[in-house]
Amino acid sequence: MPAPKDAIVKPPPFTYHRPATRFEVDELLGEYGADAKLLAGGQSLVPMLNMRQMSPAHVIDLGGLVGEPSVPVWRGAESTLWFGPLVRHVAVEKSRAVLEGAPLLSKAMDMVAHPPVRSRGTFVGAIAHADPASELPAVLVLLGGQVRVRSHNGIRTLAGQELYAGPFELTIAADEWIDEVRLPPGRRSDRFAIEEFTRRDADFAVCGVAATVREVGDVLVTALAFFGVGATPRRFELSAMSSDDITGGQLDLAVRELVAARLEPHDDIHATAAFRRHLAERLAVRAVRRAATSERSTE
Amino acid sequence: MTTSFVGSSIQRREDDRLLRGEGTFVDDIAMDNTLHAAFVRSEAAHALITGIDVTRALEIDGVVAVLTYDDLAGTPLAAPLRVSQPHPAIRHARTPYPLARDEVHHVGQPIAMVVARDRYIAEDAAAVVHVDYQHLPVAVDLVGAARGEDGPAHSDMDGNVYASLSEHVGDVDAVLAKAEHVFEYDLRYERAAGTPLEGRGLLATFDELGGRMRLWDSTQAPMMVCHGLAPLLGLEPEQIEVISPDVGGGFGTKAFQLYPEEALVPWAARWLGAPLKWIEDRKEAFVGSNQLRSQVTHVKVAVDGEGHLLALDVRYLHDNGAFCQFGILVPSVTASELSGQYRIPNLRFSFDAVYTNTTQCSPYRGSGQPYATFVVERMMDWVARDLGIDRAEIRRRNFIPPQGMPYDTGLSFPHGNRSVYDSGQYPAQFETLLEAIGYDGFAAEKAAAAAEGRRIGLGLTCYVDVGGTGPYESTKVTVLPDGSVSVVAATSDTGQGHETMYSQLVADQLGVPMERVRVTTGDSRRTQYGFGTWGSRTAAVGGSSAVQAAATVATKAKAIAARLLEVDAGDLELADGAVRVKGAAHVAVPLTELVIPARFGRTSGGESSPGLTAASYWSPSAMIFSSGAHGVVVEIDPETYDLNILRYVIAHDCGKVINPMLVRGQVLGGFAHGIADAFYERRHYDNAGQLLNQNLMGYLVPFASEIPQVEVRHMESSSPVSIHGVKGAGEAGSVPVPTAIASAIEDALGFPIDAMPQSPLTLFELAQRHGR
Ligand SMILES: Cc1cc2nc3c(=O)[nH]c(=O)nc-3n(C[C@H](O)[C@H](O)[C@H](O)COP(=O)(O)OP(=O)(O)OC[C@H]3O[C@@H](n4cnc5c(N)ncnc54)[C@H](O)[C@@H]3O)c2cc1C
Repeated sequence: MPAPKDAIVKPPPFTYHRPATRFEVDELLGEYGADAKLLAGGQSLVPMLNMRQMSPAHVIDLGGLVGEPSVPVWRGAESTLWFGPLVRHVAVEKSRAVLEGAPLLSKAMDMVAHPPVRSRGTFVGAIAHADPASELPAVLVLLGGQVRVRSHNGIRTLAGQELYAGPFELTIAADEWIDEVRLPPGRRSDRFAIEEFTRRDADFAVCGVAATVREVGDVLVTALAFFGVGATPRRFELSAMSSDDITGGQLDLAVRELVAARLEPHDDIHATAAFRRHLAERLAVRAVRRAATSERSTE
Repeated sequence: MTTSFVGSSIQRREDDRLLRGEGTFVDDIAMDNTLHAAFVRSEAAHALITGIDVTRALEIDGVVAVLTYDDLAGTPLAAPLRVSQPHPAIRHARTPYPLARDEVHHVGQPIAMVVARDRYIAEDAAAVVHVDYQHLPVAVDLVGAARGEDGPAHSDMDGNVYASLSEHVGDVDAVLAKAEHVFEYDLRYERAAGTPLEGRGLLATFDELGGRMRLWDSTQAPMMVCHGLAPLLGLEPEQIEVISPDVGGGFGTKAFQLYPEEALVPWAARWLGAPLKWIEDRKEAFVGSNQLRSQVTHVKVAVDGEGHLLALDVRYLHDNGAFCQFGILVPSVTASELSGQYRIPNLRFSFDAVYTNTTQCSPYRGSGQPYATFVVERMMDWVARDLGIDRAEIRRRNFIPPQGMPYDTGLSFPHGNRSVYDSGQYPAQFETLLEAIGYDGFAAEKAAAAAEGRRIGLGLTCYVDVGGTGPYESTKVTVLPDGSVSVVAATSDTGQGHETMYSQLVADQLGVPMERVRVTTGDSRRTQYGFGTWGSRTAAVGGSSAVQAAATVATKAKAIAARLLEVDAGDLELADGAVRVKGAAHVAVPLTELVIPARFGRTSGGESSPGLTAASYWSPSAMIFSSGAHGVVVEIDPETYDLNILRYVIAHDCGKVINPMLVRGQVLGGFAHGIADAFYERRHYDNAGQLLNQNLMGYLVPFASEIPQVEVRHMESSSPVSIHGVKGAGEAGSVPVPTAIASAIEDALGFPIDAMPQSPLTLFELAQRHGR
């Protein structure tokens, strides 16, 4: 028997738009702004619509944009990695350019959802969705990435860190949108790790942390970005340490201080603030040790 | 007999259809001009409704009707729904009105029903129905509710205890008073729920001319829905066709009670004169479909110096949510198995069943049994610890021996049967488990792991599981004119593979190929009397009735063939679609040639009734009990407190096995539910009675990735009660898992695990409290 039309997904009513160019998106957002939502891979937006958690009057589907690259590409003299608005998670996961230029992102993408979600969800969509439990905004911020924001009034570029106003909330205006995300080229000597704690495989993280370790002379400079803990992703640097400090108790102390001073964990049914603080500490120590003792990313 | 399908792993006949997406679930059934329902549900856990404004909803184009309690006045739907499992111990029966009258008792309770041209419009309209609430005190915490400190959950009651039950064997107090050792323990089990892939679903249409209601219902118990609806619709059961098509899981949430929606949708379809459909969405399922128990227990146990159990006193509170349509079934099932696999000469239980302002509870895979296992088996571990006796050894000393079967625990099972174990080989089963899990070498293994900073632990548990309850089940078997066989069973398949199971049983009895057997389940047009699928009962009870009906048909066929062939019926057998002389296969008459003579009935040969057909309403004369033992080795991450199951062994006895592959599927599916119930699934309510995890992001149904490999060892103690020796297998896989995991976590971390489910968070907090 064929599936009937009255299937049980039931978003509230909206007007559907399918622009073909970025300019048309600018125009539509200029007109409907706060009443509109962009639709990228739909993996976050569509469930929210079906659960009637939001009811935008207009949905603007980016899926019809013509000529958008489906994979991340190298661009510019600096060899920056560029991600267009229709690059799906699966394309990032499989990208050789990402594996070479931002191997941390390849690793992180492994942790994002299950294959069916990755085959539709987009990288830029996840960056824009601003879920504090997502790996991807943390990676963007840790690696010093940028986002290009546009509207009918023009184009501007923000540092990743400047994009986030709060959980699921961006600093950009209602008529602005993100048409590109850029990651700077990594240094060959950089080492990295990402650790997360999830209740089930491929769930959003209860708590997670990405770490990079860079050799500067004979000390190691460590940077961390947490996710699942705190409202927005931020990049923290630990004071330089020797590799002995990192394998010894010095690291534990430094991390504990950082977590106590800078993180504001929240309570939910999966973890209390105290447990999140504990997890943040233990996962950060694990990540840094693993990064410090790992092979260099590319030789 | 040449063929034998029983005992072999025959591929499920259902799978080809289901895996191709060609199954027919309620929502796949389309009728012209169907209207769609959506419900306005209470947002308050406990409140008086002071006003309902439906005007904005009625203004929406495409809305056909918005019904509230007032619209039901003068109809049978203006009264509370019935208690489907009454019990004299129930002092304060409270059940919901199909649409709330003036007081709502839990979040999600239906207040108004919107009917519209499509579901989108119905939802738009439901969203603008305005309800005014005057909030009342809320009871959520079981202990607070039981003491009367919270609530009352029903403003016409003083407290929240609606039923109390107690029973005893021997003289518990006397033994407790003089025993060498008396230990006391406290235990707690939190709320979970069945989460079938397919939610509930209904499509109703009333044929005015024929005076017939047809209801497709995603239910486990269509016959009971049919009889339950009759008084509400003012029709005879024969005028109500309840059909359960393919059903995507039930696990108890779709067992009979008549949900409010189940009464309203057919009633409104008739009233509106149009087909009406309602498909439960996941959000509704979280607050509207029944959940399963939370219980709190205090145990007092008397033992001698060698650890022999002398007396057991169990007192517990049971949270049944806001209503008691299932009476006190769940806590009574717990009570009936408090003897576990052990001889306990003096035994007493008493429980209070309590209302809280949460969604009502009913049985879910295992009903009260996981909790009975938890109480008894955790106690065994603790008594061993407190006496300094090995955990395995103390069980050996107390098992009911095989020669002690049948064993009367002295306790009652709901519906009046006595809790008598029919058969089982508990000691041998346990030794099989110990050997397979590597019990003897485990101390060394644990020490080696500890030396690496790893925390591993081994858990053990034994259990009994009701594997076939009455009252009866019905099957009708008919040889059709073309020689094929029709089997009509009153039970409803919710994914178990009943079509395969019934055809194996009947094909063997009638000596026909399985492909010649056609099976119809869960269709009240074809049979009226029967119960349904729950409590691991279908293969044992429905299966027995199928065997009995088929055997009667075989006897009839032989009687007619004996006359035609001029031989003695005792020399005949059924094989290859014919009745033939044993040892002389060429002297045979095909079943097809017996159909017409059989139509002439007794006049043609003295058979008892006309037709190559027979119906059986087989009823078990006593209880049937499956049993088993589970063992698990876990590792707990010392930093994240995450659980990793290193190995898991199930020793399992469900009597004679009809189809090993189906049994394995049931055991493994149950096992997955058990893992869920141990570490993932838990309903979190806040103090205001709001369910905090109302979707599958927050309510953690484990993925395949969370379910470890498991080794299953089968034992076979044929049931002397069922005709074919079969015992149920549907629930047993899940019943002991949380207890086994609790036992293993305790062994790994070194502090008592007296509550389930656990999670990394709860283990972190316990570790802090114990200074680890
Ligand atoms: C079961 C499941 C598990 C998941 N697990 C994870 C996980 O572990 N980690 C993780 O990171 N994510 C996870 N996700 C989310 C997934 O990565 C989503 O795909 C992603 O968050 C959103 O991307 P999308 O392309 O689907 O965006 P959409 O759902 O289409 O949009 C998301 C939001 O971003 C806005 N938006 C989209 N594109 C733009 C743009 N170019 N400019 C401005 N705003 C825009 C939309 O308007 C909307 O508000 C999971 C999702 C599911 C369903």
